[in-house]
Amino acid sequence: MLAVRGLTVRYGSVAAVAEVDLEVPDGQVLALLGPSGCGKSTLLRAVAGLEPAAAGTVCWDGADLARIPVHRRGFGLMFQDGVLFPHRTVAGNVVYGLRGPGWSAPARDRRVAELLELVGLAGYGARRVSTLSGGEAQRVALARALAPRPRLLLLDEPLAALDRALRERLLADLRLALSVTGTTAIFVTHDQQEAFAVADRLAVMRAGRIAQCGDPRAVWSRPVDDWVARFLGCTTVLPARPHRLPDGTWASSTFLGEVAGRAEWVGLRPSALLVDQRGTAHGTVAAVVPGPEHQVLTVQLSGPDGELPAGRVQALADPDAELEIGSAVRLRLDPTGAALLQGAARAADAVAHDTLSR
Amino acid sequence: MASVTQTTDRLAAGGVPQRPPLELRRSDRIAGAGRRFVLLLAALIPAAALGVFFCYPVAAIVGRGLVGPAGWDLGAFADVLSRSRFTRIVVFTVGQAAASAGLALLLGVPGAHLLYRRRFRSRGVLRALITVPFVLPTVVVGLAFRTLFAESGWLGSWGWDGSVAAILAAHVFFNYAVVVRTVGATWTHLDTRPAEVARSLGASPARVFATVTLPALGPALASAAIMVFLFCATSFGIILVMGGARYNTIETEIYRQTALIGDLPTAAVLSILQMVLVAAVLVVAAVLRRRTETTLRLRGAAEATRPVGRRDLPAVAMTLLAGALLVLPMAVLVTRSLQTADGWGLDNYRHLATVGENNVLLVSGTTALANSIRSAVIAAALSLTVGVLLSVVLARRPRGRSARRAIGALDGLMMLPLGVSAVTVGFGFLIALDAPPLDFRSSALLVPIAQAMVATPLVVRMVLPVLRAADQRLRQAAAVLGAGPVRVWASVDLPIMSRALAAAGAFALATGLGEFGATTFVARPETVTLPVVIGRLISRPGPVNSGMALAAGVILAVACAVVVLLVDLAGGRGRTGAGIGGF
Repeated sequence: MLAVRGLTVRYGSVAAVAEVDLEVPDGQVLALLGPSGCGKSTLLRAVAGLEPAAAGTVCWDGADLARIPVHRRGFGLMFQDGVLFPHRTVAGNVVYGLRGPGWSAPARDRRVAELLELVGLAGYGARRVSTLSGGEAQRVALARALAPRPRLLLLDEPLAALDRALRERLLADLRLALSVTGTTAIFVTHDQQEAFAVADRLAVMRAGRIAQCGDPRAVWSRPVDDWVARFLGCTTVLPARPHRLPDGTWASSTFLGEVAGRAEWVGLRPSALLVDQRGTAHGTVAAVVPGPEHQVLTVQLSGPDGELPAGRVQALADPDAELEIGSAVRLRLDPTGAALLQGAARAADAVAHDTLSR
Repeated sequence: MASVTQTTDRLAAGGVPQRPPLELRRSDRIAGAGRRFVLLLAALIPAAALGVFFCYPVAAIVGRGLVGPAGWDLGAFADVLSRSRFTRIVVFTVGQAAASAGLALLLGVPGAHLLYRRRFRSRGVLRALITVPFVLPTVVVGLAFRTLFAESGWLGSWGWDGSVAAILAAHVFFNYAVVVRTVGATWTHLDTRPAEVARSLGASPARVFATVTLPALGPALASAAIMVFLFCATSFGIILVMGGARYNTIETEIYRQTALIGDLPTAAVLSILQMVLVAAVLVVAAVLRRRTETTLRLRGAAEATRPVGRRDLPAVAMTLLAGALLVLPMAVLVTRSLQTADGWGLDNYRHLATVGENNVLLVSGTTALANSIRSAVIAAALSLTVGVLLSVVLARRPRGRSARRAIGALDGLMMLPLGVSAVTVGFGFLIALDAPPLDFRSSALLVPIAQAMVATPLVVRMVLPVLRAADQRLRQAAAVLGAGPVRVWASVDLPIMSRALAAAGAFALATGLGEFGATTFVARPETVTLPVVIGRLISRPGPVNSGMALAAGVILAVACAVVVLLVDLAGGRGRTGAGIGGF
């Protein structure tokens, strides 16, 4: 089991990772999700031993790794763009980590063939690395990282450099490969889809710190604060109970229905607000972005007519609904698109004002 | 992924050795200390070599020139600067170097266009061939041009014998490849889309070239021009052979003051002047290089090079002219070496076994050839060792501030001999290393060491960029997969730099074979090398002597060309980085 305690990594005077605590039990995959520059890659590299810790510890099964050099840790690392050894063949790359006693030549060959099969590249062994496509190169990189059966596999945005279709296909394969081999892993990404696809547990990182860590569904539906809520797609954060707005009026929560009783704050993703004739919130369309599955609207709400306060929100409409700027619409709530915030850190007035006047 | 379930069974069945538990071993502690020690050693060896064979001689020169019996004394300096002969020499040195650089650019840019932006058969061979002049011994090239322009030569009617024009032609001959490869390497990697945007906005091809392509090539042009300027400002062999008594650069004047007049303080002052000139050029180059790095947007080599078309006619014409300039001197050299008093034959080559007409040589030409080969091999080995050690240390990007500073300092120190002329090295050796405490006079290693000092900067320039450009994450990937520092070096660094290493070795060997400036100062009569023998033969009258010089020149030229061509064609085809493009 990996245990990170109070880990801080500094670049000069900047703390790229600050007092991070993390645990990854054996066989689990932890997704580390955060915007670019939040320190998630640095955290990963510190676990690998490539960045020295300014404070804190990285332990494996209780043993402190601080003085154990990178090459003796037995971890695997996969970069965004493979970083294959250009002067070796595919098999030469995969076999690189298979060294030491216990690895006879036939055992090595068997293992290489096994791994190439696992990643769907059986028979590619003799190919030159330069002849591979981006997706193939990433598969080889995965096989190379998995071959020595790493104690812990560290994946640093392994799919970010691929195009969308390839990314989705490889994501499914990667997930399968990780579960088949029962590999313990940390998967760094800035993409929510990827994180949810592979994670047993999800950690959201912000400015060098872990903002929230837990079951992916729980993090998705119950973000700890409005930053996490926004990072996970909420475009509007509202007080759940009737509330006094800066202009002296009251926002009612009848619109929120049963959701209101379960939290102090509610984060709304565009999918939480649907255009519907029977909806109870009134507004006019301020912008329309058509899409294949739905149109994304920016709606100017007309004000606290007993429902949502005045301001702009994002909402979804059917793709064939005839809407244009200025159309009057009604919105209803779809609770599956809403997130419940337990205690928002920020002052209520400020949040309401902030979110709704933009 | 078709057979995941089968694979699952096998993966679960094991076949993978169990890992030992993770715990700190004693070897981890020792390895850390050992690694630091090895790195320190790797830094100390070249630093010591530089200190003894570069810094100390330079200090000796400065001592001779600037320190009188009563401490610092600028009298000699003021004296030299006030004499019109020396001001004329300085002006001529700078002027001819600037003219050479301009002419080389004029001829080289069309060549770069043709060889790097257009596609045609045997382009790779041509790219390699134009590199050959760069590695030819200066004395041999000087001899070839002298033979070409002599009154009895093929172009004798031009009246260029002993003229500035002939000197400039020889300098362009040498540096054509520097321009073509430096500019060409940038040109192939240039983002072509801005040019396409300009075309779509209505710009004619000529306007696109003037307003988009040329500015983008600016840094490469400047860098090439500075390199050519530097090589020509420190030109020694060419001027000595072709300039006669009329034209002198600072280099030849240092030699004249030392060897013919024996005025060491004046020679020292001139050496200091030369170093200041070189340092100034290097500073300009460094500033420009920094700009190059930030302003150029490069892409992978353009695959879309087009075949030669009618629009390329001016470039073809210019390149043919350059081709004639490159081929004619060598052709005349080979032809004349085969001409004897009574027709054609190998007499000139046979005479190399002798000591020449009137015994002008102390050893025979063949002995000198053996000396050359021996000292070139030793020099190549020395410069490769020191150069690779230096590159490995300089390529490191340590985390600690003091370690980074130390590497920065070493980097700066290494920049010094990069541009210091061979003559300065030789002169420094002469006055610093022939008396206690460092008496190398009788050492057989003095010539190879001097040659290694000239070649080491070359090795560093070829190996260091490759190591610096290598993806740091390759080393990290290897380490994470369980490779210790030694295996990382052997399996990542070594293969990456193998090509550059082979090329650097070839260049170092060729440099040693053809080295003239430094060797002239330090070679003793019985350890002379072939270039020195050629220099001596052409300064003495007699048809046998000049015939021997021609034959020796051909042998030397062929040796240098073969060494470099083999490496360039075997490993470096299409790869400009390993060639002299890095200069």
